[in-house]
Order: sequence, then structure tokens, then C-alpha cells
Amino acid sequence: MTKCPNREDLQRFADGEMKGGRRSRIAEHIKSCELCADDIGQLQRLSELISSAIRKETESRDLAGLWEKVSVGIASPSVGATSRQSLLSLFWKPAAKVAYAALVVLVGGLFVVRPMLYSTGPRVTISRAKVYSVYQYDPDVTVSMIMATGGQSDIVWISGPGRTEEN
Amino acid sequence: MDLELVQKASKGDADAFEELVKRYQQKVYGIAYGISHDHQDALDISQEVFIKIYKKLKDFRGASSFYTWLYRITANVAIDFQRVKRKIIPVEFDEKILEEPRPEAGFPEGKKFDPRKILERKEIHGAILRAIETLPEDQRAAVVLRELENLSYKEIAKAMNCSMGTVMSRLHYARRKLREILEPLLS
Repeated sequence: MTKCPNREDLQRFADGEMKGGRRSRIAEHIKSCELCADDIGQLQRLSELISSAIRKETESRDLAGLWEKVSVGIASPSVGATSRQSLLSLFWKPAAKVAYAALVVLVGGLFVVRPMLYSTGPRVTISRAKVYSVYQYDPDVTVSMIMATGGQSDIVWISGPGRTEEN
Repeated sequence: MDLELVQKASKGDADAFEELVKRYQQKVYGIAYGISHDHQDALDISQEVFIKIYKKLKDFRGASSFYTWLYRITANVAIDFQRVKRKIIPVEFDEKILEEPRPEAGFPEGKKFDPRKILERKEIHGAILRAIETLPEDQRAAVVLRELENLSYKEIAKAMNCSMGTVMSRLHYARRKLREILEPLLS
């Protein structure tokens, strides 16, 4: 039996990247060398496994929408970075939408309500108004925002344990 | 055939470019998935590849085949994408997946691990993909181009802009590691 080829040569043989005399010598060698035959068998098996794993995962994917995405990307050269698009799409996922809206309301509410707590705006008669929304500014203070007739809004009272006052 | 479409597309023929995209989208997606192992990433990579291709159509001289050029861009985009992503989410191979089957994955508890049976199951694909994920991006790309697209060493070298020796070396180290990890499935 001839000397065993090194693993690089076995790899080239298994990949069909070896020709001529060297290929014939290795082909002859593996007929009588179980170790090298096993080595080549494992390389071939590995190739099959990798190929089938990736194909199985990708062949059934519906890529019908890819062209539309590409055509949009081509039409807007500035929209080239996919990472930015992914980030944008994240914003429009339903859960993210709700969280984003809640954040806007919370921050906006704080900016609007806080100065109002200390303002002395025009007095609005309760009989002419209806409750628009209720904010729990802190555990001791509940703020009711009143939508007055004619669409004008104002805070008309601040109420909480031990504290009730009209604005 | 490709060259004709490329020439038409480079002159602004949208139908010709659409034909090119549809002809190669499955292959590009397959390579992108093989390197990224994430369907959304693979879709993003594919999109970016074709947009790049469109922008560079006029530079394509036809010296190499269109698919080699396409694979080069795909490999580069996918590798860059992974490098950025790796900085955010480091990936480690969970060896437990080969040591014992997970009951929730369909293997009855207490039964002996049998590679021949597991080969029939989908979970084996997950184990292979996780093993590939442990490879450095350059090795992963070489393996995917070789095993999935059956490219020759010379074609891989062109696609990855490196020498054939580098391709052989990347394949050798990648396979050595994969064989270590997947040994129970190969024997």
C-alpha cells in the first residue's frame, strides 16, 4: 500500500479538484486504505449535510416580494442601507406602534399637564364641559382635563386625597 | 443569455433587470442564508445585493461570468452584514444539541440518541446550521459557495477575491472544525 496522502490532498480529491496522475494514485490508494476511504466518505457526507440543511431551509421560502423591494430600493437611491430599513420596519410593527404611541402620549402629557397644574387659566363652568381625559400625575393628585364647549380645553380642577381645588 | 440581460438592464431596461433578479434570487438568498442563518437578514442581504448589482451594472465588463460576479457581491455583502451583527450578538455553538435530544423537539425522554434516526429529522439541520455559525465569516462563505453552489476553487477564489491556496485553506479549516462538531452525525 502506498503512503497515505495528506488531508489537503484528500480534500482536493473529494472536491474533484485533482487531475491526472495524482488523482489516479489517490484513487488507487483508497481502494486499499480504509482510513483514507473513511476520510473521503466523511467529507462527502459533510457536503451532503450542509447542502441539504441550507436547501431545506431556503427552497420553500416565498421570494415573490423581493423584486418589489429591490425596485423600491432602486427608485430611491438614498434608501440603500438595509439596516436602516430594518430599523424603520421595526417601528411599524404593531407592538412597537403601541409602545411608541404610549411613549409619545406619556412624554407629551407630562409636558402639557405639568405647567397646567400651576397655571391660572380661565375658569370653565362644569355644566358647559365634559371630561376629556384623566391623568394620574402622582398618587396623591388626579388631574382631570375638561373639554369645554367650543373645543377649548383646560384643566378645571385638581383633586386628590385631602386636596380639591377648581381652576 | 445573462450578458444580454445585463446589457439591456444597464441601458435602463427594467424588465431585463427584473428577469435577472428572478433568475438568481433563490441562489442569492440561499448563499445569504447560508452565511447569515436568519431569514430576515437573508432577505435584507438579497435586497442590498441586487441594488448594488443594479448600481454597478455599467461596470460589469463580462470578463467573468455574471454569476461569479453576483456571488462575489453576495459573499461580500453577507460577510459585512455578519461582521456588523457579530459585534452586537456573539454566537456560540451549543454542544448540548448533539449530546442529548431535546424532548420538546420530538425525542421521547429516556430514549438513546440514535444518529440514524435523528438524520431523518429536521433538528439535524438546525445542528448543522449552528455548527456552520461557529465558523469565521470567510470560512463560512467558502463552505457555502462550495457546498451549496458547487463552485470550483478557482470560482470561489474569484468570488472572494483571494488566491486558490487561501480557498483551500479556508475549506480545510472549516471542514476540520465542522467534522469535530458534527462527528456523531458523520460516522
